[in-house]
Amino acid sequence: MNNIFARFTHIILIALLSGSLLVSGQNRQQNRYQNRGQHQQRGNSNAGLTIICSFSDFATIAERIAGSHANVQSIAHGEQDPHFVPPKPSYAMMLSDADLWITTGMDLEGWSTTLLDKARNKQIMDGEIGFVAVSDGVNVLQKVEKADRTEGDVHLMGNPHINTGPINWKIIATNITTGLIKVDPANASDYQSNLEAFTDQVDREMFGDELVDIFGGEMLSRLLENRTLFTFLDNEYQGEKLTVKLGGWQKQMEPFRGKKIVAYHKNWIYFTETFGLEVIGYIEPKPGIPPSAKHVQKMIQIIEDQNINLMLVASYFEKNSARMIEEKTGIKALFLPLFVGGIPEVTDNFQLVDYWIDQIATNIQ
Amino acid sequence: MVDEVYMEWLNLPLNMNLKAGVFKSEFGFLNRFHDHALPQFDRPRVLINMFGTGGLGGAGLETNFLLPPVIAHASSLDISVVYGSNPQSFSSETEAGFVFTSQFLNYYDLSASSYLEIRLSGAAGKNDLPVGEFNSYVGSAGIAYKWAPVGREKYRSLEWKTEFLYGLREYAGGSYKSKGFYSNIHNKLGARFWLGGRIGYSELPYDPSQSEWDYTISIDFWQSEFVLTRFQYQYNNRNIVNRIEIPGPYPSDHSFIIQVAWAMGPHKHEAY
Repeated sequence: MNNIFARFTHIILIALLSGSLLVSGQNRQQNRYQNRGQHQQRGNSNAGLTIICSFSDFATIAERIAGSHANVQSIAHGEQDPHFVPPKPSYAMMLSDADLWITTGMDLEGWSTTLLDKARNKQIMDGEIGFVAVSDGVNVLQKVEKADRTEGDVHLMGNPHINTGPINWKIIATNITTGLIKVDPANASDYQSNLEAFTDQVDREMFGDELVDIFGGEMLSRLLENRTLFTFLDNEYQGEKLTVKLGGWQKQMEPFRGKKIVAYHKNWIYFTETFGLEVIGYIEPKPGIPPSAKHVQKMIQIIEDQNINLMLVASYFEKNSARMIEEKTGIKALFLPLFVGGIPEVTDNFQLVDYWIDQIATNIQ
Repeated sequence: MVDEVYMEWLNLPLNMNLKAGVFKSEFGFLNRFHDHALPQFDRPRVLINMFGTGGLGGAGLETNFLLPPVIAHASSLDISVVYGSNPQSFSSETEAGFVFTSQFLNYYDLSASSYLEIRLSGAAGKNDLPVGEFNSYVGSAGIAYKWAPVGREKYRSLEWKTEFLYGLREYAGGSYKSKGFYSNIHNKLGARFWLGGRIGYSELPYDPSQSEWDYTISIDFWQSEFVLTRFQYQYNNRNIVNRIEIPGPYPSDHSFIIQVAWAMGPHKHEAY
């Protein structure tokens, strides 16, 4: 028996020693091993920085700002529910090699804490130089007044689906730029100029060239956020109303301002606020709670009473409830990708909003 | 009852995380699980027979090393020492009654929607039955497969876990060699419903001539992410006449269990 005991002791010692040797041989900066998992990779694989983003929307913005200086990857797939991304060990390996971790910074990515704990990368922990919370400075909507589970799966810091509001992208991009400059100050001027170009594109897509050339995107964005843009555009300028000069997404969505719709989950609020749609009810009785038959019946009644004809549903949700309501009321259930890559043809944020608006304009009556 | 109280230091030298306190050791797939998070109401019989109903754990230290992914997409090594006896395999309560464990985990992404995981675990400690101080060892090899289609994880998934355990328990006149296994399937049928099944076999580590089979089927209903109601049927086919600390008799039995569990706090994202 002593022999057996000695053998087991040897096994444990060998395991300890080999483990120590393996880990001590690992130099994170000099020996960057490649993750072979199924993640979303984009950008320049030979670039200097490695940026990992929680979502593809942040990744496409990071790619614009970082340009050729970074290899950008995202963890969640575009068609995935952002609340329920499985924290796989291979994702922790991605993070172990990251110079920058870009996340919403609210409580949407609850799964990311597990990954950060396992990643062994001090630089990207919350509060460190490589941690970027893109929601810093965003005007967060739907902050909770009652934080308990009787309200469903509420987010304590407010609605975290900030990616659906294009005006927020400018703040997201600014936060990413700040993070990039911190970890790579040598290329700060490139990041700043890329930020300016990106911000200008957001403004022009949002309001059209004419208004942006006259007033600048910052002022127009502020008016929009204060809900005074269209009052302002009622004024005359050089003999005609400013509304005539409106272009971009706001022009496309102008006919639908004030229109009442329903949604499956509270993930469209930044979009609907931006474009003046009014969400009067949700298919989920409370966030994260699947719809009961009683609640579905109640929603059918509301839809019929108020003659609602459009329902927005992020495409990762189950389709049965929405389709059943569609059949009973004639409402159009519009299943839309919530993120870049949610459908193959949408490869950046601008295409995503183009797609949303095209679909809404086609289906809203 | 508080199951675990510990502090964890992250990002230490040598790619190490260090845990100190009272905790359940990393051993196989289910030892770390708290009761409410198990795929069935109870632990597989082989784990109960090897480590008791509370699992393998106690007060001590545990290190976790993230290894270079040489043979897998992610690999890690856990090593722990705990002071926590159980009446089954590690019954010594003397100062020599520490239990040492190690686990080598290898994870493989098969596709965006599926993965494979292989765990090799070992535990070494002392037993003091009937009288004296003798060595006890338990080793385990486990394999898990999970399929959860990207974008539909909330509504569909299939998870299969199988673990084989082998125990060697010395005594004054020789050693007992016991073995057992469990195989568990958990199938998510929709946002609210899961169907589960388990089969297992186990020999008692202090008398391998006594053994039992268990067959389990369960249906879970999740009212939300935080409230679970489970209905479980179980058949235990026992060949057991005498057990430590549990008075007999030990007939084969059928049981029907209703379990209700609810939780507070933020999202639960422990499992992958």
